[in-house]
Amino acid sequence: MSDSDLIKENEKVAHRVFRFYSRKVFLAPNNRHFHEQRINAALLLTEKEPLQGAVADFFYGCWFDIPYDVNNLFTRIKDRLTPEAKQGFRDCIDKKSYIQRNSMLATRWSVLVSPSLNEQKQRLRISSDDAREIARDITAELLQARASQDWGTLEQIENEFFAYCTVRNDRLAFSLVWFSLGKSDWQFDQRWDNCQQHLDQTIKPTTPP
Amino acid sequence: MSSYLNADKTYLTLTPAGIFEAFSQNEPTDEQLALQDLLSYGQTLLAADWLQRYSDIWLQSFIEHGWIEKLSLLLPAPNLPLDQFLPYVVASLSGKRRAAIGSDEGFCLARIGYSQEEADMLSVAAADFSGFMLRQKQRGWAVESQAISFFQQVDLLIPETSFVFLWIDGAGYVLIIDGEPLTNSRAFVELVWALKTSGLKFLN
Repeated sequence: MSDSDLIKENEKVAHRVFRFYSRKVFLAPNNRHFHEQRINAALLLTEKEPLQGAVADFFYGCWFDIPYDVNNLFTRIKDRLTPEAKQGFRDCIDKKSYIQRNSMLATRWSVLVSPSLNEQKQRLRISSDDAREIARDITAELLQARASQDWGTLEQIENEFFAYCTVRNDRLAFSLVWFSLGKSDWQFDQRWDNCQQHLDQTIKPTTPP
Repeated sequence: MSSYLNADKTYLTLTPAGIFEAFSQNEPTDEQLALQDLLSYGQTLLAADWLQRYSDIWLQSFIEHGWIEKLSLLLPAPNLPLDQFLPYVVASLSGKRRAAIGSDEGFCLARIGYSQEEADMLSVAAADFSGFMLRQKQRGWAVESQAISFFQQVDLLIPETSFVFLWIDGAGYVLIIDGEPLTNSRAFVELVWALKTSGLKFLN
């Protein structure tokens, strides 16, 4: 078995353990042991969203422990969280905030809390894990099409990618693909500029909390 | 008027759990119609406007059930043509980013990750299941508001394929999700909001 096959197999196993404990957490929301086992499984995954979702559930289900007995666990996980999520959870530990049933810190992998819609429109449909995966796939497909000199396919992939970025306001995927292709001397035409301008126009000023 | 929220400054929307509750029946109850009303407009409703039509007790109950979320900002409904919007939104509902949406007549409306052939086959299967569930309801087995998952492994842990049935303005839809279903998502709310308000506008 190659290294990449082994990594994929380990990810599958971790996903199964994660889901197993997701069920346990759903049935026993206050059981800290189940939450910790689920977080341990999430740490084995490459995606960040399952970990954030599991931690949000833990902070909601075991709210009574959070200000007193969570520092060791948080030290283990904090570097795997986005800066915003890390700060959000830190505020809960410091008693400045707490996780509600609808929370900005919840993700689609959460089972006790739901992602809140109470944030800016352009962020609604973006998953950073999805954006990275899509960017990786699209870059590989475009470079493959260029290597095969399949210009029709190349243009089609580009157009589908622009449509995707526009619909999901996914600036992250657009930027990742742009930089990756830029390193490979990509010829960016007007359509790339148009897509970038469209994405820039949808940025709204952040409202202070 | 509700005393526990600033009804003229607070907007209301459905949560993912609220979507399941509101759109699971082909003949919705009055309470379910009141929930559906929240996603019937081009933007989120003010609590004050909703409370002119429905009771404060219902609102309190819906919030306690986790079906409604209170918002501090106005959100516009998705306004892109459905064929541009649906594929990318349904993708995030699947752990493998393979998903489709079909009508209860067996037509595939949008797909991503699946080939056209796979999506067509699954949409026809979904229509069969939808009919099956309606027939069971008539016989007294209340399965109509439930989803169906198929598993390959004996522990029934992660489904291979799941079907989620939704009724929007009398029309039946089914979400077809490959792998782990991730419907606890803002995309799920936006998907139904788009279907409810679009008047089924497709570009092509």
